[in-house]
Amino acid sequence: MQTPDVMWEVAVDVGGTFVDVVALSPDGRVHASKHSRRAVLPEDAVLHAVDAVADQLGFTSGQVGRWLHGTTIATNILLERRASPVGVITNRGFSDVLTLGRQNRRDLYARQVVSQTPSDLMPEAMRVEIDGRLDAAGVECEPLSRASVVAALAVLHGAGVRSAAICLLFSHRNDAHERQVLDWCSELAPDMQLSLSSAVDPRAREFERWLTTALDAYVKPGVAAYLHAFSAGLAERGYQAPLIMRSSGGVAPMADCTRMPIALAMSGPAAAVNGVASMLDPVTLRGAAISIDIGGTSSDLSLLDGGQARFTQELQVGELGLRMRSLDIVSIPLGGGSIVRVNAAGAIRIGPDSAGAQPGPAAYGRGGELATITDCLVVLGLLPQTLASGLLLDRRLACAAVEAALGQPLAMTAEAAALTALRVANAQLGEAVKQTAFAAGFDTRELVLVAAGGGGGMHVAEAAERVGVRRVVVPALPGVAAAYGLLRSAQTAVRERAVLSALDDEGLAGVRMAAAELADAATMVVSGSYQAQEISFFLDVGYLGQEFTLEVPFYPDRDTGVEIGQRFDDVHTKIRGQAFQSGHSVRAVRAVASCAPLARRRDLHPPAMEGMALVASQPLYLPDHSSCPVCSRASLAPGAMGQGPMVVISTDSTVWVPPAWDWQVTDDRVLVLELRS
Amino acid sequence: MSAMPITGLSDGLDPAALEILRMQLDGIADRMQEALVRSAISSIAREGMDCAAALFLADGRVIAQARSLPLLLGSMIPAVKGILARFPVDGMAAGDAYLLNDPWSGGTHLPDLVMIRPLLADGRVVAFSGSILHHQDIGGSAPGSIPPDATEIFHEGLRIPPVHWRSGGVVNAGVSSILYANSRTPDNLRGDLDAQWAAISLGERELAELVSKLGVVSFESGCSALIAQADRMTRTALALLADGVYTHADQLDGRDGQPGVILQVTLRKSGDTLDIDFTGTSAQVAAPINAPYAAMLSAVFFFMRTLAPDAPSNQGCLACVRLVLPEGSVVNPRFPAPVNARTATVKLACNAMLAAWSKADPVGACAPNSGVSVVLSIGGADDLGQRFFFTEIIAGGGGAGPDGPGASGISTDVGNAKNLPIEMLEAQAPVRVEQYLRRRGSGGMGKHAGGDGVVRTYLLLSGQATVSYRGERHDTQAMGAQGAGSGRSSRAFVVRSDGQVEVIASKTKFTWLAGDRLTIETAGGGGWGAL
Repeated sequence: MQTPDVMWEVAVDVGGTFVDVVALSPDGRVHASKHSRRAVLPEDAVLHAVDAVADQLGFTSGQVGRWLHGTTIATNILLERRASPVGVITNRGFSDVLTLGRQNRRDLYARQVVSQTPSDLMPEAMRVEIDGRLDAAGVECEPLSRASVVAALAVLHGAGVRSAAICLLFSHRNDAHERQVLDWCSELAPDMQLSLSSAVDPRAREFERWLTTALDAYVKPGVAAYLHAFSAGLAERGYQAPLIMRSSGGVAPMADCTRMPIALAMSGPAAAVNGVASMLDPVTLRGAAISIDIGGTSSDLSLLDGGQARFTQELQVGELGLRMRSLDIVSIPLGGGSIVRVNAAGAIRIGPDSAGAQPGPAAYGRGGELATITDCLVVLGLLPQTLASGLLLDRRLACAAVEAALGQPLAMTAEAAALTALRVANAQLGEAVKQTAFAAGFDTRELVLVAAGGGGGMHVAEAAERVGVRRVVVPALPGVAAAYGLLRSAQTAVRERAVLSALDDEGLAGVRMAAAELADAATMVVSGSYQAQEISFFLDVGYLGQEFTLEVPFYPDRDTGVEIGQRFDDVHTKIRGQAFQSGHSVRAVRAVASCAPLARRRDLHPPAMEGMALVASQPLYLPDHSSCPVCSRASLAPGAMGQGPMVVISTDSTVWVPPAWDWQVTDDRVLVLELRS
Repeated sequence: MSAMPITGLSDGLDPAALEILRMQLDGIADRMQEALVRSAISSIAREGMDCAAALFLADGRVIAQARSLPLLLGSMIPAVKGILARFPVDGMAAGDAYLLNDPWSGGTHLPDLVMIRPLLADGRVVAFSGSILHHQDIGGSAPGSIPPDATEIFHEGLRIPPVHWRSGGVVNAGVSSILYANSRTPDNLRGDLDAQWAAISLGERELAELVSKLGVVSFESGCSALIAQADRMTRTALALLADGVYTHADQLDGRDGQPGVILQVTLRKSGDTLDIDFTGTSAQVAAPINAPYAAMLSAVFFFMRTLAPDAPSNQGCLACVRLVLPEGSVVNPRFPAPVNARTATVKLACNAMLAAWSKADPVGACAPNSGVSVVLSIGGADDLGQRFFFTEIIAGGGGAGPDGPGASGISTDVGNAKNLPIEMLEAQAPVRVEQYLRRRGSGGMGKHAGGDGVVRTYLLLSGQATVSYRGERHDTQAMGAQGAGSGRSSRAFVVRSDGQVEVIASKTKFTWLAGDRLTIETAGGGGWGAL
């Protein structure tokens, strides 16, 4: 048998417009490529890209030791909301919890307050009530009625439900009722796919737990169909099944992902954060940084503290709020395709709508007539005339769109209007940076900004300048950060349980016992490509009488209650300004098993510019600059340096070095931009 | 798309700089809000979010508001005016802070303390950062300072006219000692006042940076241009509609068999201006439902914001409004009226404006919401003597509109309270919730149905408790719009353990015994469009 370090490793990440593939060859070279999504079926688009890369690089099935996958399938199902509605089985008297939500509204001044919950995805006619109840301690106060479950299933069956969520009160304290209902359902309706709230999100507050569980049921058929088709396609080619990235920042086997597919909601963005973190230079890794990944429709921001992303328990996918432990990534609706306009009062507004890939920006010449951020860049001459995909950017069309949308109402030339819109866009990114830093307790002046995604390099330096950041880094492969991140991510398994324990000896004994049981349950079997398993523990702690909790690390073999309380108070002070005198209680225990990929050589080379015509300079349409040098990222060796203005192009991204910035390339092939003082 | 350039956009700042200034001001206000919630001590601010932050120019015009509670946001405008009337800007110095809660100097009700801090640049006051927070106890006849039986302001706690709270950052020891001596929870009062100071200091620091980058003149002209922008956007929305006079009268539930007070509103829309006139509203009463001027301004600000939701949230939204609040009425009471329960009146005033407006804008406006958010406070002890206490705010239905049916069980207009999850409630009190459902059929019938109220039933498992129920809309209904039906009224009742049913009046206090079931049914919203 071959040892892992002489095998190929292949990672495929699917985005909105492209399929990105990063392959690591046995000699340690990293090969990155982007492929247009032309096929109708998502699995075909991915398999076409896989075949193209295999052809080009010449690996065969027996030579690939590891397949990794980042997917937007769950995200798209949640955003498009076109999947079949799902059933919900709940306690008598509570079938409207998913309609009523938490009673508050998102938009304070909307003319009409519409339903704030996605109740159309689990319509009331498909929510059925059963008899049986637990109390707040998880003790049965009314036995489960099998007859009521039989009746409920008949309703669901009649409505054609294929996937349903079992959502019972206090199941986070005791899952016995949910398990019993599951057993009966499996016996009576063996074809129905089922999600259990006690398994998906075992924490208090019924609406949040049930919604996350119902959405798990909602994405389940679609995710399962896609993953099975994709792995069948791989199997046909003799490849092994892939490991798949989850929102929590670790990869997991297919069976785990189809069992709880809601954990894939942020698959791609989580992989991108790991990718960025694994491509940084030592200086950036030592401090705090904010990564800004700019795509066609949105920008994702995440704070990296010492190269480590933070975790959140609340995740936003479009309008849907999910409660699950995920990498903390904030998305704002600003990307290359964002529409730029002037409203009736003469105010500039960017987005939140986007031209998407079809028709795309006006400059693409596919019939788009609305001005986008990309059009503004084209008007100013900041993008190359031809994209890596071969697409010609038509400046004449871009000028016409910007002229109509902004130039006329503001009485400006197209160039002045484009510059105006870009200043607003970059300031909007700057405001998002301020907000991200503030939420984590950092001052923006302490930060480095990392430009990622296809568009990060065009905007981040100017956004940085607005918020007092003087250093911007662009990793070697910013446009395929997610695919590269897949290769560098650990395989993880998380097991968690709700508790309600004081930090005294008795409470701590219970917490330790729970931790030991969870650690056993989290234990994984991993392939030879991964290191031995490490288990870390976390507690959700809060002050007595307060809902708010924070996650703190937990060391079961040595922690005292006082130490845990102190640790919580310290985090609380950092995040919320102060610590309180009141006692603490533990609300949840969590075990995270993690196996890092084996260390091996990985040489990051920006992709060569095959097929792209290189010019030495290009015209600019800026007030003080009429042209600037252009160079290929691949041609910049470690140690190279120079001054802006300059455009650095690569097949996966373009970087604009503004006039006031210096640039140089580090040994890790990170492009560092620094503001001249 | 118009080919004509839009002129008169700003004096000094170009369109990009103006939009950037708007984002920066909003960002500062939102971070102040976050700082306020983070560092507050009382759960009413920390978890109930009953606090707000905003930025003002030196002349008191508001230039940005945090995305927080509308009930509080608009009311800060009169508070800043009240402080400026007592303390002219010429006498202010860096590190000062001013405080007030007095309804006759720009305050709302006594637990809401407003604190502002001036920003000085080029040797003069350029702006203020301000915050308002509902404090846990400010004295008066009942813990919490919201006594339901108050008949004059003196029952409700300590009145604080505008006072100089800090100089050079140091708290005025005389004033603070009086405040702390008059609160049942002086530590919370101190901690929450410090949270307000922390928030406005953050705002002042960030504003100072912004002003020093832009220069005072550009900052001020930019803010004025943003106010003019909001004004234009609001007027544009008004100008699209036909001129006319639209009225609506609504009624609060009466007490002890007495008829309830009438809220009468007249909207006169003429060109791009709007009169909002509450003439005809009942005289003030010796009960705490009177709404001071500042409280009513929140309702008006909220209403105007809904006309142009895209506008910057600043003084410009009010520029086209002429507001008439008759002195001595429940919507502008004279001293010494009690005011602590003004929220019900403010909510119903919003509702009356929405109802009148639905006649002005038959195509775009939606029907009134239920006009109710029940406040339910329950305290008692179980059989073992273990004490418990909880408060819930329970919403009714939203109004239907041209876009579709109203939402059910939703916080509307000036409020935005969350519900109390069953799993949190049962963990802190010996109560079993038996149902939490949409109250089917309670929304007004129509082409689009009004949102339903909710039904909540609670069984007390052990011991006994005192229930304080503050409902609304027991006697009246939320009107339908464009020929649709009204929502159903609220009701509440207790089924005693022996099966006897007792109906609960709109404002009631009663004893709840183990085995009794309490059911609350909130009102529905108005429907929209004839069937």
